[in-house]
Amino acid sequence: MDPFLISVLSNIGLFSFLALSAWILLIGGEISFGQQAYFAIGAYASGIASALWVWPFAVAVLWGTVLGAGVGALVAWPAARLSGVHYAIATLAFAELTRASLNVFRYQRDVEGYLTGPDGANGFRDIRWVYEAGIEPGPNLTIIALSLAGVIALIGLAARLNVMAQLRMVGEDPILAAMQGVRVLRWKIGAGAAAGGLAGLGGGLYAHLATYIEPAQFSVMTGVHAVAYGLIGGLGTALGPILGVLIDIGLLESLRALAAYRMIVFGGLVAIILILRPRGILDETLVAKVRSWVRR
Amino acid sequence: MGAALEIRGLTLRFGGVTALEELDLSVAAGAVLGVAGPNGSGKSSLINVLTGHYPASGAISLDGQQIGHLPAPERARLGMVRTFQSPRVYRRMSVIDNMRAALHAIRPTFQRRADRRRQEEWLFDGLALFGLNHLAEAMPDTLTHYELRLLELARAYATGARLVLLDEPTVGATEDEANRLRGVLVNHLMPGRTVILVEHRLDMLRALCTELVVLQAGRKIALGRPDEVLAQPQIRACLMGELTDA
Repeated sequence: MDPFLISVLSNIGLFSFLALSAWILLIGGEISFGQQAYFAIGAYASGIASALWVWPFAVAVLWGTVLGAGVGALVAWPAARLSGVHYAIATLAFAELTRASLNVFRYQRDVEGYLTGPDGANGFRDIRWVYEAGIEPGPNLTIIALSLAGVIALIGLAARLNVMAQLRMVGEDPILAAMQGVRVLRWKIGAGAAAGGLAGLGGGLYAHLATYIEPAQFSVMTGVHAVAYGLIGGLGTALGPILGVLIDIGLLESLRALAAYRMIVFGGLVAIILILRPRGILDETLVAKVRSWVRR
Repeated sequence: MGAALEIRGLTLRFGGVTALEELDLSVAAGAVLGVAGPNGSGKSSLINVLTGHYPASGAISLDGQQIGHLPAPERARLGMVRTFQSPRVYRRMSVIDNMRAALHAIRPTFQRRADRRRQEEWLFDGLALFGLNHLAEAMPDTLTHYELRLLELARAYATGARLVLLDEPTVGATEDEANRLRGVLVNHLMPGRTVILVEHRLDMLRALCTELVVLQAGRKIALGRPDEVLAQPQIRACLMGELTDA
């Protein structure tokens, strides 16, 4: 496969984790501009685990996922009492706090003659697993794709067990949901944990693909894009945010004619879609219609 | 059979405003208690307190079990369901998905295929009973106010709750719709359940309730059989302008 295509598809896969992370909170009724923080936590934690502690790749990425989920739950616990703009600001503040902390976070060790580890604003070089294990970009893309497929399958299973429906109930009308026996606070904390874990998983995979990460990569704009992917692609299905990533990275960033105008086109696209389809292209009404057709 | 409800010393204050003051009530299993009173007398507050939406002092017991300390979801799981003055449904879910939503939290997460099929049949039968089967796949925004009201009642029916709290189910309905709603309540929702009915229409209260309580400024000012309570001149004076005698 063409290396450029592999690179684009890998980026689409990695940002899909971040988009799904923001999407889970969106259907739970909250807008988070801070999911990049968990992406960063997953990236740094799994990078440290594989490069400094020499843990196996899979365990290192799992560690980043678990840490992302744990921090996500910890932040969601107080934040679940907030809503709307207050929630958005709280998540943004946490993300900036995380990024600022990474700017001064130094934890370096000599590993086989290399001094490696996070070095504040200079970033974290030599997350060398792909070189040491001899993983080419193609197989790396396969790892990302399989992980994403696993996540989508898990979301599908959650939908079958009515987990997603209960999250949607909480998101749309938490008072009615509580009157119907839904433990709203637990769901909000659970959604925060799931979203943190997903972003952490994406971050872990990203760190091992990029081999170099730095705090500046996890800026507010990354978080804003993550929310926008769900809003463009649609909140009715997990495929919505992935469609959003495809439109942004697959179309705008990758087509050279459009790349220079990406941010202008993307901003305009968000505005137009929010006016025409406030819940995105694949919104709940469209998904309900499709399901109804399929049942017939 | 419905659940017996006991309320002792129920008090709810919002800052300096008292919404409910030392309210005592007993509702026998299977009884229909009407609640009347002028606007602001505490009728809806009573429902909000019973469901756990507002925290209040005092004791509430359901079939002998103290529930006053329980949050709203736990009370719902014990078999309590409510409707709202203005119909409240999930606007981004179809009618049948709204019916399913009513059962998500109170039914086991893991169900056998046969159980799930039976549940689906139960929900569609419930919709048919309330005359909404042709709207199963419709989105709520396409429904009339009356149909939304029916959906709320069908949803309450589907839960199989033992205690049903109805907050002015005929408000906003035409005379004809109110009569049809009365028929639906009598024939489908009320049998076998304990019901608390907050209502402004005298004819509804007379026809449906086994007992009537009248509230004023959060206090109970009358309790008894609807005909007897509504025959009292001071009660009629209190409710004048608030109740419509059909």
